[in-house]
Amino acid sequence: MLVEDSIVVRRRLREILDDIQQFHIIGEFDAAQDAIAAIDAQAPDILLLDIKLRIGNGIEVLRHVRRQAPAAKVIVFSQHDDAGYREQFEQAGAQYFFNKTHETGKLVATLSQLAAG
Amino acid sequence: MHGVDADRSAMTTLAEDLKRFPLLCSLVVLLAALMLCADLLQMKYVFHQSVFVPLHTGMHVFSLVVAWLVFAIGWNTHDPQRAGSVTLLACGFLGVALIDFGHALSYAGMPEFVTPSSPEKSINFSLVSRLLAALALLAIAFVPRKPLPAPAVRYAYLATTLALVALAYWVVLFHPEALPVMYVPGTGLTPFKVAAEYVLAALHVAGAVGFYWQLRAAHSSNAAYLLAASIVMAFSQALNALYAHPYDIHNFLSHVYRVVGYVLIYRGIFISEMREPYKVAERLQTELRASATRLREMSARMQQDVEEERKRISQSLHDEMGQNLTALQLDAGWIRRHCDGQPVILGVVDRMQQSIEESASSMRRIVADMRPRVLDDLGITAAIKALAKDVSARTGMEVAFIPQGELDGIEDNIKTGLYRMLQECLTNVSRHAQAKSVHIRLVADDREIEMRVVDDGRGFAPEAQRKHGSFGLFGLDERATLLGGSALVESAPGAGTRITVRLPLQVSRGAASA
Repeated sequence: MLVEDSIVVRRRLREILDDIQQFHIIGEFDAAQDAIAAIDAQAPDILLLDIKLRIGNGIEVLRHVRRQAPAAKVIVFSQHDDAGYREQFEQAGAQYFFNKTHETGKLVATLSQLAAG
Repeated sequence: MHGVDADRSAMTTLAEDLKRFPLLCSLVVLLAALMLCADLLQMKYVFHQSVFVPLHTGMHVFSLVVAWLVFAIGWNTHDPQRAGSVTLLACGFLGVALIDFGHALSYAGMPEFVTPSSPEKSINFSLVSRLLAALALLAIAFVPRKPLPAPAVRYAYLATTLALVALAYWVVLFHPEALPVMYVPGTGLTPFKVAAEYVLAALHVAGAVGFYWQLRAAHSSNAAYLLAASIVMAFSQALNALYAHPYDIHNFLSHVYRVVGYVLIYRGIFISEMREPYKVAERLQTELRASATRLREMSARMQQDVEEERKRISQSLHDEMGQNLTALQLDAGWIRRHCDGQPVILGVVDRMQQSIEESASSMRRIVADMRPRVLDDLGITAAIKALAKDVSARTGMEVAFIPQGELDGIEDNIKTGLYRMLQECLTNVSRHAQAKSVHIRLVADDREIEMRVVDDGRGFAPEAQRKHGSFGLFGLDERATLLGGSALVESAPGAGTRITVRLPLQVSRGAASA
């Protein structure tokens, strides 16, 4: 599941996931409430999550998914990588936290690994 | 607009002007009526010497005191910007006081004063003193209210006055024969003396006209007092022309009127020279206070506007530019994955990715400086942690942060203010203090929040802070004051610096933000 407010970034992420071929995207959302509703309907295996959303905040989605789908892997992909954010999201149960400009390579590598695993 | 005002002021009638000063008008009317009664009833009452002489002396002592007061106030309140005519009046009244002294001591019935006392001798002194008084009033009525050309000129006025007084004493005491005869015992006043009194009365009437103009032009109460004084003094001169005996009722009234006239002059001078400046100072002080308040409010509003604007700019920079840089970076990654084994293209992609990362870094720095997102998203504690880490990384100082109490959920302006003040403190420490470590402590209770920033740097003398207004610490105090709090800076050379900021928390605080 893709939760990301920027259309341009969402399109790139979709292309990367299509490239890797192992993934099926069950939904793309740019607002926290829509994503939360979709999680209730169908728990994702992997959640690719941005912090800033069109409406709401990535942390709400993360807390929800931890309750509803504890097994889901959560990858936070955000421009905010101040210590505060990283700490807060890791504490809330995100497995991965990648900066949107410095760590795109790591993101792709992690996605490939998850696909292989 | 100006024309209309001018018309309106021209339309104010004499009656309207008189209504503005009811007490002065009643006094003048009363004295005029009294004088007319004395004249119409042809009062011929003559006081006994034992009654008149003490009364006369008493009135003169009083006049002398008032004349001295006019001099003392006019002379001692001197200021180079003020009208020179006030100094002229002051000097004139010094002459009046000194010569009146001779008059009082020479009155018929008084013991010998250098030469034997006589009506003639006292009339001579009296005429000179009243001439001086009339001329001094004329001066203030007609000489344009301009400052003296040079400060030394007032000493020239003083010297001239003293010289005139000395001359008057010398002629009256030692050469009375050089003066016209004023009084013939048994017959009364000579025509010369009567004419002289009417000339003096005319001088006062002229002065009254001048003061009336001043009153119309400036509506000043000082001119009203001087106008009333001139009229009463003119009455006094007329009464002086009418008396037949040194102890008669006309001469008595003439002296009473003169005392009243002097008191009015004193009041006029007192108002213009003592009271008005205080009133002006008071008004200026009120205006100054009001403008300081306005400035402070404006400054607060400006700071808020700047903060809003920064928030808006940094948000759009971060969101729009940031997403595009991410898209570019992902595209570069795509090329990299699809051009495996093509070293030339991969070299270009490397360069591209490096540029993108540098752009992203500088954008993030700009955004963080403008308005740290973490402050809005995660609250003050997280924002200060991030700032401490950043400063520590940039400067090599150890920056420790100890938060105490419930710190998140404080009002936005307080949060922003504290963050900005801390930024200012840390900038100062890194620029000037040469410190190894900085400790930041943030404590809040229900009513206030206190931030303390302590460094182990070289410190400074308090005078240095005052002298330069520097170290950006003035801004700290200003910001704290605007938020209703205070900032205290304690430092000494070699002993580091401790800054304590206290801000009140007004709104009851909600839950911590996400």
